[in-house]
Amino acid sequence: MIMRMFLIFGLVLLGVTGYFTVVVTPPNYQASPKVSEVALLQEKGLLPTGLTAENEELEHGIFDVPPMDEMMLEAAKASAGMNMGGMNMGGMDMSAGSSNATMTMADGSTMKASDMGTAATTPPANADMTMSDGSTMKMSDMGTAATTPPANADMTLADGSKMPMDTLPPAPDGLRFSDAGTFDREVTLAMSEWTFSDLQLDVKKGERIRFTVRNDGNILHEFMFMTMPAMAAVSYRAKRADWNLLEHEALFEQSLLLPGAQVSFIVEVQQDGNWMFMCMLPYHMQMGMMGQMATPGMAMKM
Amino acid sequence: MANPLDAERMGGLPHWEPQDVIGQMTLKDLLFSHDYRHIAIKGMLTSIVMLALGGLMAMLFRTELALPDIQFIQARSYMSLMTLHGMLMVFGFAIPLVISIMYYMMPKVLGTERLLWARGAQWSWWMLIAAAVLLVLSRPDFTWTFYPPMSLRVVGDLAWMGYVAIILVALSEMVAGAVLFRNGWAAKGRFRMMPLMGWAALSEGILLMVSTPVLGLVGVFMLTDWLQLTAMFDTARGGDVMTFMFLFWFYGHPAVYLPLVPAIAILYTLMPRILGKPMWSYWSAVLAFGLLTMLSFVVYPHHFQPAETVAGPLQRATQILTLLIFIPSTMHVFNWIATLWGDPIPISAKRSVPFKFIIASIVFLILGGVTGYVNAQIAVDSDFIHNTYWVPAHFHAMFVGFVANMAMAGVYYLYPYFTGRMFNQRLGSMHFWMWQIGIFTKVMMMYVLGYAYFPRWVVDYLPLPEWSMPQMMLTGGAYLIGLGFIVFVINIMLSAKRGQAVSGDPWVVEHGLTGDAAATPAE
Amino acid sequence: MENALGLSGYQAIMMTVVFALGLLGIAGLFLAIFWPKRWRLKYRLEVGFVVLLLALAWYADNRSTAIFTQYQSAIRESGTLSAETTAPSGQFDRELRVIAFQWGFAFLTDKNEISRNAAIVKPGEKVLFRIYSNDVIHGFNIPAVGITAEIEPSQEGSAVWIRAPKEPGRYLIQCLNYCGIGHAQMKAWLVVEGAEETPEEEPQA
Repeated sequence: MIMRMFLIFGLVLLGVTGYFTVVVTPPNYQASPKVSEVALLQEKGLLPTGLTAENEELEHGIFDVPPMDEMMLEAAKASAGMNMGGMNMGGMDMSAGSSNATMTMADGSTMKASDMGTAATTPPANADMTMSDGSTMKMSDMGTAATTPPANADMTLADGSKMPMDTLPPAPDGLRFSDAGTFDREVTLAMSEWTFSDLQLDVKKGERIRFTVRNDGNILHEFMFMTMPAMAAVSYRAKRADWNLLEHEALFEQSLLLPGAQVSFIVEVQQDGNWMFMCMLPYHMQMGMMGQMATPGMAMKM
Repeated sequence: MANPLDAERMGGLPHWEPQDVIGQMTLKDLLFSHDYRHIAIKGMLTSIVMLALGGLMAMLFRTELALPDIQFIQARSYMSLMTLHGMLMVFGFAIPLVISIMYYMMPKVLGTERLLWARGAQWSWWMLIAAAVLLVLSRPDFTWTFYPPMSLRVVGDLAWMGYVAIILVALSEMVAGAVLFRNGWAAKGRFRMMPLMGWAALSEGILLMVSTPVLGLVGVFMLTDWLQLTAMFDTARGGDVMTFMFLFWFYGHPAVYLPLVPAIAILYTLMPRILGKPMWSYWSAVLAFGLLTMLSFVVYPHHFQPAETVAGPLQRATQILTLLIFIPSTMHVFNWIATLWGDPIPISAKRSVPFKFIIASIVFLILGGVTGYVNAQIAVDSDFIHNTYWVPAHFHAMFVGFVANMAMAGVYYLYPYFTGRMFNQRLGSMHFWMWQIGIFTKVMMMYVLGYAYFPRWVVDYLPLPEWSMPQMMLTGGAYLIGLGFIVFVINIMLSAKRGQAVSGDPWVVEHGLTGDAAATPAE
Repeated sequence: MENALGLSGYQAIMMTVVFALGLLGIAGLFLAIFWPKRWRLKYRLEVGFVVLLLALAWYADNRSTAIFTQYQSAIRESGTLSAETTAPSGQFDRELRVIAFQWGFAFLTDKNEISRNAAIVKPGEKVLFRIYSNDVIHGFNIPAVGITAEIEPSQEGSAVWIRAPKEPGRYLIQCLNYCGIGHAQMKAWLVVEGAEETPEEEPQA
């Protein structure tokens, strides 16, 4: 009788514990330190304060972009027209990231992400990407510089001549970023653990806004602007072990802000649309550091 | 030569009369009885349930880890599984099971005829249950060593349950230590004629009583730090992590010997009984117990050796003492091998399931123990050992390979005594083989992964071939262990009702008329 | 593998000793059980055995101490980080300050340029990493050169130095201490610059 009791009790205990740990996942909780050690080191002069310049030796090709991203981007763009079902925005949990995720393609067929194979995600360094116009671009050419539009107002062309900003073609994805220039209003975003001071920014088409993004928290953060399809394109690997080792391209990126540092830039909203801003360090976004900037009527339910 | 009391006691007399103790237990007996057999059975069964729960956690995260990328367990769930696995296995299975087996054996082996301070054993059990309940309810994700400040900033609102659970574990173990020491002290023939289990009881009692108050203190400070009443360990509020390290590991190193010492004691009790002869050396065993007890309190900085503050003379002393603590365990192994080699091994021994488990446990003590030689060295530890899978490889070889195997030997040995029936031999052998293949695979793959710098506490890993293949095989080994456990449960449940009834001595020593007996021992 | 501690040959000896002891023990056990010939060991054999183990312990202590003291003296020589200058001191070619945080690594050159999750060095250089943790205990491990450190959040930090691999390419840096939910993703590249820009095909572990 005793043994049977223990057996039944044991089975119930195993079932309930397993269920409440794996099926009903406990929430992510991460408090941040009351004081940042970096801030203390900065006070002592051992670490620099303010916005730190990015290492010039950081060449292209250190952080690869897996080819799978391209395929996920196509799928995301295709379904962007229909609904946002591919990306779970509720609760800020980007749990769509799983190699078993299936994607509904534009033609209604489903494609399993696992069909891509894991080999595809660590590309050989000399893989080439075929561009839409048929030309090929070597993988090694891709890097932060290629994908982040130059922050300078003028563009330097391949032959060395300069092209002033006004004569530039419209920026891809509707946002043009620059270091300086005229602006219509100012917005300050303060980052903290784990949120932004403003999670919903309303903008108008044609506005030029001067953003100041400040790290008010006690942990290092980054700041990026991305389109929704671009975010969906990388969500499959956002929780993967190689996240920090790969590139995640953005419309705008400030790769590191130490506690207390801030960065300023100007955005021109050239089209109607919505864009996400976030800190994509591991789990920062999933714990709440993501917001939306949208023109009237374009905001998506978050 | 060995203790003559040993020969008298262990050689022939079976101690107990097989009886269906467990079948006659009522719920009231289970919960409140102070009869040592009831307390011990309760402890054994509870530990087996905790083994099942900890094992389930392992099966789940092993399945997740078999392949790179996240399949079905997210990071938070994974760490809760990992924390529960560690805590339930160490605090809920390994330590209580071998101590419960000692509770069962001590009254007869030590000649006291009853468990002194049985009330303490009772309280100890209840506090452990309370701790387990709190752990399961809060499912903390701060690892079983809960290093601050991380452990003060995760889990969420229920974090206090985890800290209180630690305090309860400390109290439970401290009381158990007092019980063991009291019984060891009362052993017949103290000190020169005391059975080795008596020495083990004293050793274990000292280890428990000296180390657990510090664990309790750590638990209290974790709670007060979390409640923001103090700032002992939270560096952002003026605390110091090294305080935690020194306090926690002062308990933490003896903690790893808490399951080991009783397991060794059970071995010293079972081997003479099954072989029908005394141990090869009595005083070498006593010396080894004494050395281990003393050294285990001074080697603990090796757990946080790469921290900057373990420097200079402290670092060197830690290395030397850790290299020395490797020696008592090898003395035990030498003793066991010498005992086995000295005379022909009875045919009854070779047939018996407990004996098989004893031999397997010695194999794993060797496999786990030899790596102690390199783990102790600062230079090598700072290379591929610290916090890679090499460390879990070492302690799984010890805790699963040695302690769990030895505990099973003890359970199988006692089984006819408290059920009145013999378990099924075929199922016992099946359990044995599944476990040894599974544990061997698991331990070897973990060593391989550690050598390849696989990090600890990760839910996902880079898809490197030197990592994925061993992980897959490791998972296979784990499944085999799980299957073996299921076979064990089926065996003990079915045999309790349908096993062959036994009376008299279920472990009669039979010397077969084979070449073994005919060979003359060499001098 | 350019082992940071300089223990390649020694490591091989140690592993051999471990294997040998293990095999010896298991062989002894199996002989004791299965070999028909019996052997009543003399007590002095155990004494001899313990003496052998003490000798092995003494040897290991000597060699290990020699290795780690020469490693640590190089760090001690370069002193502590000062606010006045961040240029490399002592015998190091390059000094990088590392901020380990939840969840990533930031590397600062002596010109105060920062890079996220990438440390850039030249082949064969002696590089000193001064590592500070911003928040909780982190680890710092570079498998390719075989060195591990544990860094607690404090103002002192930990120092680790390596001889950068001679082969250009990307090498893994990883955190080995559980530091929160992003621990498994806390990885970085040690980039050894080379003649050509193209990095290695596969990350080397």
